[in-house]
Amino acid sequence: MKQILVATHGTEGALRAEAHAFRLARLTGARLHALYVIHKGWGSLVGLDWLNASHVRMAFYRHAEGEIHKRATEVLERFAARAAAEQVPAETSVVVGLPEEVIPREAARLGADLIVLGAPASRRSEEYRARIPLKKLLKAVPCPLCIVP
Amino acid sequence: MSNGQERSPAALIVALILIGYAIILKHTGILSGGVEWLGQTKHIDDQYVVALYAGIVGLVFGLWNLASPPGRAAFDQIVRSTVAGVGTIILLGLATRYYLEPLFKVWGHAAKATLTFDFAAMFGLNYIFLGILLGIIWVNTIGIADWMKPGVKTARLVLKMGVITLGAMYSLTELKYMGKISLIMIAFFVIGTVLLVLWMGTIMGAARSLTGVLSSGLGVCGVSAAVAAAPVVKARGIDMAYSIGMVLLIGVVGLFTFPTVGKMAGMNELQFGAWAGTGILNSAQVAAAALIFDPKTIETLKVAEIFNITRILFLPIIVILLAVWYAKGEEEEEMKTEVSIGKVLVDKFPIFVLGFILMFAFSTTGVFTPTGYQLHGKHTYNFKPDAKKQLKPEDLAKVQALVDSKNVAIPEVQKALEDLVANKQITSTAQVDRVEKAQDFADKDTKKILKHADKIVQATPKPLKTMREYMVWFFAYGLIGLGMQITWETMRQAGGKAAVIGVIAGVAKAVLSFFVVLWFIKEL
Repeated sequence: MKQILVATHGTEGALRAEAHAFRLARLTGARLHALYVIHKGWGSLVGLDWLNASHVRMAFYRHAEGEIHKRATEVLERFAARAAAEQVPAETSVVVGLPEEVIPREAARLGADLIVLGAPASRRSEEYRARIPLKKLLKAVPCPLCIVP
Repeated sequence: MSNGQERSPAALIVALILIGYAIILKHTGILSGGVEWLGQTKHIDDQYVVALYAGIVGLVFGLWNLASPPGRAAFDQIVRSTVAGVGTIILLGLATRYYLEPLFKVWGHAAKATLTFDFAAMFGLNYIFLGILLGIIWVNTIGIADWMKPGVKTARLVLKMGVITLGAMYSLTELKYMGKISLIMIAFFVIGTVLLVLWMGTIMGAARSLTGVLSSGLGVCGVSAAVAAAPVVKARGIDMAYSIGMVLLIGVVGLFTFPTVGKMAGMNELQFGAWAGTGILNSAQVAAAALIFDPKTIETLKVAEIFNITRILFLPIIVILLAVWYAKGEEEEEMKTEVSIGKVLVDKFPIFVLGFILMFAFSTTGVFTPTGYQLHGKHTYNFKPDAKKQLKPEDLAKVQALVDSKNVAIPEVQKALEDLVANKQITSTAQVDRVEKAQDFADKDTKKILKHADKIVQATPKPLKTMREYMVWFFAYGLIGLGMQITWETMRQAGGKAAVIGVIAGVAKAVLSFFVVLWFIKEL
């Protein structure tokens, strides 16, 4: 195994998946790649806004984009710090899109041997759009998928 | 087409459908059986004009787009790339106004014997309701294709055009009266809801950024207010998703339930307009609820929009207050927000409200009131004698009986009634007031006749009639387009503490404003 892709939003489930991925990487010597997918649907939040001028909407977009990227950076920096501490080779990336489309695409691009995800939590997390539609994802993955409970 | 680079036949296809429909409707008779059954024969010409002209414009742009795809120039983005979506919304407007609404009307009548009530009338299943519903179903099932997206975005602009045009429909008397009560009610409910949400957020331990954005959305004017407030309270992604999802969800429930509740409670136009303008969270949905409640006249819409505009004017003020509130509560220096009151006031002021005010100002100069028409109180009158409209002999006999009874204690009122009998109609604005005063001395039947005498000399000038027709189309178009922005994906984001606070504050606002309106607001 040479490359493991970990999809993470920093939720509790994702942290367990990260821990499992680190264990596998240490056992196999594989590289890790942490992927944070920003759901492209966040732009539709302003759909029903009709009365603000375009500059107000743009200010909202800039703010929202900044906040979401800030959170993604926090999650990935923590991952990178752990990788450095555990001396596991790792990269990170942030991609905007639908998780069920981006994860298989990135796995194929990286030539990943395994995708690692956290299992869906019974309670909703505090992360924006952290749930991944597993049915759709399963139909598209190009390699084995490991779901960590 | 969304990136402005692709060649797409969409606009041409939509244009050909519009032109084909116009020709089939007017010249072939294929649809005449169905149209007659739906009672829409008298509207064939209206439909023909709308479909044909929209189709011709679409055809020109459709061919142009096919020959040379829209680029990144402003004209290409604002006009050429929107044609296919605009044409589709016009088609949906035609379908809902001339087919779906009459169809539900027929079904409502047919089911009345079984249900004991007309469900179409009771639930306000008119073209506005059905248009929004169609938009919601469309976006949540087949989705908005890329070729439609630029056109759907024009809904915002067209809705603003509707509100601006509405400005011409008010008299000074109406605006003064409605403005006064709307200012009192809106100030109370906007400030009250914002404070309630901030207080609930504190006792529930919610993040200040969440509470800030939620208070703006629930207190002022829904999603637009949340969008305006989010950057100043440094809302996180999840705060925005929770708040906007919740505000949208409560707003949609309000939109579809308010008209039915208003009808069941026997509200008049003023009462329902005031209630919808105060209690419905999203400002676009206020116009929709008013038109669902009362699609025939625009009286409810006029009241609701005054309330709506009043609360929109509160938006910059609330944003400033929230910015100050947020800055005071943050200990970390980098989280503090610098508040420039002037900048926020200018930035967040909705410019189209100036258009509304300007249109009203034009209207009061009499520019839309041709010779022969006189604006008096909240109505326009035309006193030109018209034999078809004059009072009938039996009605005149009753007025004469009132004159003869000597019950009318005021001499000029008595004289106005004598003139009414002599001329068979009211002939001046002074007489309008005196005949209204005479109602105090009349029995029930004669009072009705005096009201009728006033009504028959009321007349809407042709320019205003035409503007009203355009305005209704603007609202229908804008609301169908906005219906296409109501996604389940956004509403299902609602959750967490925002859901609890949202339900309590939203329901409290709707219920309390309902009783306030019923108790304190009667008739204009």
